[in-house]
Amino acid sequence: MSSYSLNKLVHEIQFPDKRARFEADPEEFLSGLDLTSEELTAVREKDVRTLWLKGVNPYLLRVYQLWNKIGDEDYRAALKGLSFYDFNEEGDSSG
Amino acid sequence: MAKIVAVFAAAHTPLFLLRRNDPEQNVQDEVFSCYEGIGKTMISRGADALVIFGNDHFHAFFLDRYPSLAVGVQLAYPNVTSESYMPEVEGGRLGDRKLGRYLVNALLDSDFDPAVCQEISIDHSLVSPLHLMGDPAIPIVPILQNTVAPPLPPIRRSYQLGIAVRRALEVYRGAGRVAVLATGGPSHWIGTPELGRINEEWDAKVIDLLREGNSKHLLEWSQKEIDAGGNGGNEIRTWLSAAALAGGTPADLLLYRPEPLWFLGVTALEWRVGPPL
Repeated sequence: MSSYSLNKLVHEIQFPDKRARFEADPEEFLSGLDLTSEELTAVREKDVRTLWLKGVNPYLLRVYQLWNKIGDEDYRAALKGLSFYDFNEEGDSSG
Repeated sequence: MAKIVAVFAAAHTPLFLLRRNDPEQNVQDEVFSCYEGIGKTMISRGADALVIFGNDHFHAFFLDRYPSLAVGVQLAYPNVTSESYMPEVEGGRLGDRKLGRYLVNALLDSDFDPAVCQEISIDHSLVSPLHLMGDPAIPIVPILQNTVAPPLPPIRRSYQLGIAVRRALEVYRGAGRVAVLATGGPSHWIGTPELGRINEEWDAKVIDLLREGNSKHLLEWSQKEIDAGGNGGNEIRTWLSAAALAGGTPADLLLYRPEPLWFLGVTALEWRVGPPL
């Protein structure tokens, strides 16, 4: 369920009201969520590589990238060596 | 008995707005004039309703209950708040509630089970092409297919959907003239490590099949072959619905312009509408 919870968090903070609450007090927002310590660290550090590896849907990750003003080159660099097709082979394509 | 006055496909991307003027001027001119032309054509042909095959990108729906198929029955469609850069139309874009409800019932009769949407907002899938088309004041009915949240329905469902909508429209008495727009595709990689890649070869394969009137050949493609067009390539499902609705007829290619700054080959097609199905 952790991947679902992580997707849910990334989804929620793409909406302005939730994002404002998140940005005002990230720890308060994150408290009580069903996330591992590794996932919490990734969220705190805007670590898109780990978010990708933990199964955040790429469309959600793209919006996350835009809101956090991570440039396209930086984004590609962060995900270097990974592939959309790694997930496909496991039947876990993000469509 | 509604008359189908136009069946178009047109690519969508938020980058049409976010990076509107970044491509070379000739690319902007070519793309914007093509989309404007589509909007004007819908109006000049007297369309009084616009059925849109599109998809949501986790703005209206989420994994908690992601519908494989959803139909809007609203009088208006506001923009999603999670894409604040998208241009609003005051009061939302007009919706044809009556046609939406009619299509829901017709689809149920055709063994489809759409989610019936009374309060959805629309994202760039609809907003970006409609805006470039001049936001024609034609009431819309969004028909949204899941192209983003696996597991995705088999691609043949999209074709069957197009046939079902066509048959329903043929006996619809509430609107005289209906235009159809499929927004989405061709290949693109969004949020993946391959962000921004364009596969022109894959695009050409898909577009050639549609131009030849061989859209049904795409139904034989495996999910792996579709994925060769990136996660965004799954949006050819909306094109297949339009192709089926038109009767599997050949489509004319209005535009194919690969634009790396917009992350895709900007594509527009118009189908020749075949006889009733």
